[in-house]
Amino acid sequence: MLKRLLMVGTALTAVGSSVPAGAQDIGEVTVFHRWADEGSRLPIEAMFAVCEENLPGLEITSSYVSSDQYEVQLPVQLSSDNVPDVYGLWPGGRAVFQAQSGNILDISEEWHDTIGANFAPGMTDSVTETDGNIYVVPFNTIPNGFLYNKKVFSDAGVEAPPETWEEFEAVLAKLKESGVTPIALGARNGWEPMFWFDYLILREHGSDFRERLMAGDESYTSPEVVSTMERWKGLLEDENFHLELSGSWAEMTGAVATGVTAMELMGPWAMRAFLQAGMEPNVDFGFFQFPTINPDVALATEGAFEGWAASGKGSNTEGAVRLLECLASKEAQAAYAQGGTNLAANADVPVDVYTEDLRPILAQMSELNEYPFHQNMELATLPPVIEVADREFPRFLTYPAEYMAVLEALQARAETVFGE
Amino acid sequence: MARINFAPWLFLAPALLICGFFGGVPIVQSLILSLHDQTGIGAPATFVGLQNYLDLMQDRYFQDAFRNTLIWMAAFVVGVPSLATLLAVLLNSNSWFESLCKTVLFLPIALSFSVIGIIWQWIYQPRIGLLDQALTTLGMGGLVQAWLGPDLGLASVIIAAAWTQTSFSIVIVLAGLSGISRELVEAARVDGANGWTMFWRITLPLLRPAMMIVVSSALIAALQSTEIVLTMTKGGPFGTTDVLGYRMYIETFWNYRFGYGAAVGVIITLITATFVLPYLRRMISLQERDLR
Repeated sequence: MLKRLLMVGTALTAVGSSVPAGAQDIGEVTVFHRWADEGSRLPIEAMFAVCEENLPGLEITSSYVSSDQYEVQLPVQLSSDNVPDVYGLWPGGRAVFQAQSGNILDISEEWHDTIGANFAPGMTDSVTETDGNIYVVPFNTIPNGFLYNKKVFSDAGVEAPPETWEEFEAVLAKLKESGVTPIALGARNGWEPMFWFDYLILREHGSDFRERLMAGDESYTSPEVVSTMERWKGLLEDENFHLELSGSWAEMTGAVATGVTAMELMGPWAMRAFLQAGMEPNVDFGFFQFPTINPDVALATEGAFEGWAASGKGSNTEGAVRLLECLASKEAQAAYAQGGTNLAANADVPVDVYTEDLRPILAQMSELNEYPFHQNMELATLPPVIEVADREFPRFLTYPAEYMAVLEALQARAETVFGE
Repeated sequence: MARINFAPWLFLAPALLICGFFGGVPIVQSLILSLHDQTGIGAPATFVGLQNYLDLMQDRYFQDAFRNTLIWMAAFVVGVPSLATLLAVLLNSNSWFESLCKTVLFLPIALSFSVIGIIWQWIYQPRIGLLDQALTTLGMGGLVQAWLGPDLGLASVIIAAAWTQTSFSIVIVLAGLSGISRELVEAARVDGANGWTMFWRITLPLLRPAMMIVVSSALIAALQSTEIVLTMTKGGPFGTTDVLGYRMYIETFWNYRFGYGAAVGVIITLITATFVLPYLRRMISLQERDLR
């Protein structure tokens, strides 16, 4: 509790107050979320505390379950007699899925009137769903990029991280010459390989193509996707990946930290593992963004952002919208980001709120927010397609030559879900 | 005209009502749901007849899960009772060492499948897991495998699940062993029966009631393997550890295909009934014959 109060206090002192004050009591707003463990929950509660402080009469009643349980509990809660006013959700496929079930409030009007002003201009595109509406107010951005072991790089004679695909291939060659398998990749959770698919598509064919692919408007068997898979297949066949299908991101990050392998395409949360191994940011480990493949294709960032949605079916929808407005604010998101490793989505939250030891790298990562930000595939498209991707990408990693079977399976499911 | 004796039914009524309500109603509901196409709880349902079942027959993911479930059932029905009987016979004395062994072996019963999944996941973890570390330390690093990989994943998860099921079965078999009359054992020994003969001719036949519970509970446990699969592998890599229970979970709570998920549930119920009921009937009739 003390920690929570300190976080709120620090955040309020640091950034001042600009939350819109309401003229009348808001009353109770019920919130359901999936940030159950203490490390995730306390920053969430710090956001709530800011809003309770700033909005008159607001009383947030929150309940939560673990992430795994959330996928089961959310549909049950949303169809019960006691629907939460606000719930945690990823923008993207999950939000569209809820919209199709009528369990989410379209906040496009509020976004354009008030909420959107809290974010960088590109965020409006990122949260606008394939049906043209906005449902979710983001509170963080989690950009993915390469985390690498600086010693392994320098031992192999690599002086600077690569910026282009040719440079990247040269780095891979040098690392292999030095006896290191360059890239760690696990697949236990299913989503780890999708980061690779996403970035290869984004760098080869750009944001618009990738958006259309996730929305079912492009085919997984199109020449563009086939060319991407062939590039990935080449990387696999050239033995660039230290693959552990049953390994999670944590084990693979450990493999990078201990120098078993050199780098990993992962999000900022993985940096904790480097710190726990006694490594210093930008001294022992570093970060670089996914290299350019086609110079004619504009850069884009892949990762995740999490947010809040109003159900529109709770007992206090008006209060829910007011709460969403507050949760988008600089104060609330600064309280969330205080001392953490996830970047606040609010564009005005200063970098000095983050944990001090990681600030240099987080500042580097926050620069990626200047580009169009895309939810990773696991969050961008609809769950039935994700199920196939979860299952088929590990098959491709094991049998790269079977990539067409993987793409055909994805396309068959996409046609079932989106229509032909 | 024969009089109907209502007394037994009266005594059975509370149990029948409770079992009927909590067992029968969900089964009937699932059956009805499986004949509909419904996306999400409370969403409108369209009657599709047997289409969900026909689609399941064509579904490669369902076929993989079905095959894996049959392997799981075979492993549980053969492996668990055999191992439990062997260990129970070895532990069937009152020495302090055997009491200690019993305590250790019984511990997993107190653990949920999720906890067991986490423990075994740690054991099988690549490179830093207990198994890989132990093999490497013992100079047998060449034996290190991808324990949860496509080749060994199913066997590894079955072993993890069998750990707790075997513990439960040992308790049942030990209870059965304690019910065998010492006079009968002594009489057989006086008649010159050796240990092997006594096991096959006396111990095993008299363990039949215990084995009935052990085998049927192993069958049911094999069909309830969802939780440990969810915790350890999520059915991966590429479906090699997928099972029917997990498929039902994914179709229902991930893909929101409630009718399709219900169809998988109905098939699980049918498999349970197909295997467990004839086995129970056979064992009960043998029991009745012995009593006569």
